[in-house]
Amino acid sequence: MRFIFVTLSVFLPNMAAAFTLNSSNDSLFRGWQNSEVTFNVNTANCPTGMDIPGLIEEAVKVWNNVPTSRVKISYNSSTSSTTFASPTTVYCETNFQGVTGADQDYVPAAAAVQPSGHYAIGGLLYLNVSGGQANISLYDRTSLLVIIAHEVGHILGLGHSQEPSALMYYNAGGKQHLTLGQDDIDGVSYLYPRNEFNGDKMMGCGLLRNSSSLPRHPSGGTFAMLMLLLLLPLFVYARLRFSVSSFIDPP
Amino acid sequence: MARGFLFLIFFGVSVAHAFVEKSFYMGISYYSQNALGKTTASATSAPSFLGSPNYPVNLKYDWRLSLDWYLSPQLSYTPMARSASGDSAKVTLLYFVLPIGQNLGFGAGSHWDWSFGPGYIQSTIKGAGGTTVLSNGTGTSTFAVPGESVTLQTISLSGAGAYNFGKSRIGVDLIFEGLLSSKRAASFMFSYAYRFGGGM
Ligand SMILES: [Zn+2]
Repeated sequence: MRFIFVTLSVFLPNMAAAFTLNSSNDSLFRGWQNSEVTFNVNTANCPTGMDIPGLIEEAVKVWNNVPTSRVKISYNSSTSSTTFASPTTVYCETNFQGVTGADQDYVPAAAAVQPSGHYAIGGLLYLNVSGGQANISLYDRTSLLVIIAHEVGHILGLGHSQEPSALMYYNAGGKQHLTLGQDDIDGVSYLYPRNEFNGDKMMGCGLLRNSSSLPRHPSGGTFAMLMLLLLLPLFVYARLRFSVSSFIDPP
Repeated sequence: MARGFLFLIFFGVSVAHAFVEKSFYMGISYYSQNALGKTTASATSAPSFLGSPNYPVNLKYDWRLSLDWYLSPQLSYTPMARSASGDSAKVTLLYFVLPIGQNLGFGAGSHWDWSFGPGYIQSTIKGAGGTTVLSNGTGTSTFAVPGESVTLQTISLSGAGAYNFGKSRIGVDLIFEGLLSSKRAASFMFSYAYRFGGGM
């Protein structure tokens, strides 16, 4: 028992679930009603040679890969929009400080959503292409992915986290990898919860319910079927072993 | 005659081994959620070996299915929710697994067992509500704290091994969620349990 307690105390960091919502006052804010969240890019002022749609597709993977969330984020198309829209507008803003109020020497991007009821109905993501020191062309690829993934987090409906390890921590300066913290996972799972008994694909795939030629099974039945499929070979194997043992046993 | 002989051997083997027919286990565990590089615990965002810690209480029961296969349902639940420094939300974890398994090796000297099977993981995220003031880099902003309770349900597939001595069992479970997709995440559970019933 002493061994166990020593082990547990070693593993006891102060884990925080400190995520907040991208709203200043609505605790019931739920992000987008549709868990398929998409982005349109206005590339008008974007740095030449910078593939913003490609960066978005790459950056959103960390959110899409959360096992307990059903959110599915993707790049949709190009747009000429410069304001709030659905899909969310991504716009390279030359007058970044004037439009967002954020310091153009420190803040490379900013994002906001338009709420209606408890849901987001429009989104706008500004990338800093001003003369300031936080112009996105001055960042390396990893930093850009971290910056975009953080802003996508805001569009999803998350506010800042007080956890320095979280992607939604206000300061991305120290981040050398694009990895979510548990706090980000808790946040996106809270807004877009995965429920494999209520429509979400089991084990992340379309194993038993994605075929259009088959009727849709109730998910409880799907689970039972899957368990049966897993257990059946084992029962057969066990029976086989038993009969072989009986057979080779001397009379 | 042959079958009677076989049964005796089997009985002799089973009581000395890890899975024990009709025995009940109770214990505690360390459940490392989203481990093996899925998440980060550092400000540099370097992927971490360990995931987020949960401390479930475990209950387990062994049923013999055949000569040396056992069905061994196990229920884990965190009586103390994982909580925040800012207390914005509390997260509880329930894990039920229905594995079938086997004792390893023969003779009274073997203490090992292994098992695998499907499971069910349910998390509840309960927001504290209200608002909080946080830095946004150049100043502060007020953010709403989540105010609802949300339930997450996923199917898992796990493999486990354990070492048994006396009435004690120390086990490691490797648990996969989203196994067949890019959502794949691995968690592991390190557990200690005490066996009640089922003989020595
Ligand atoms: Zn931010």
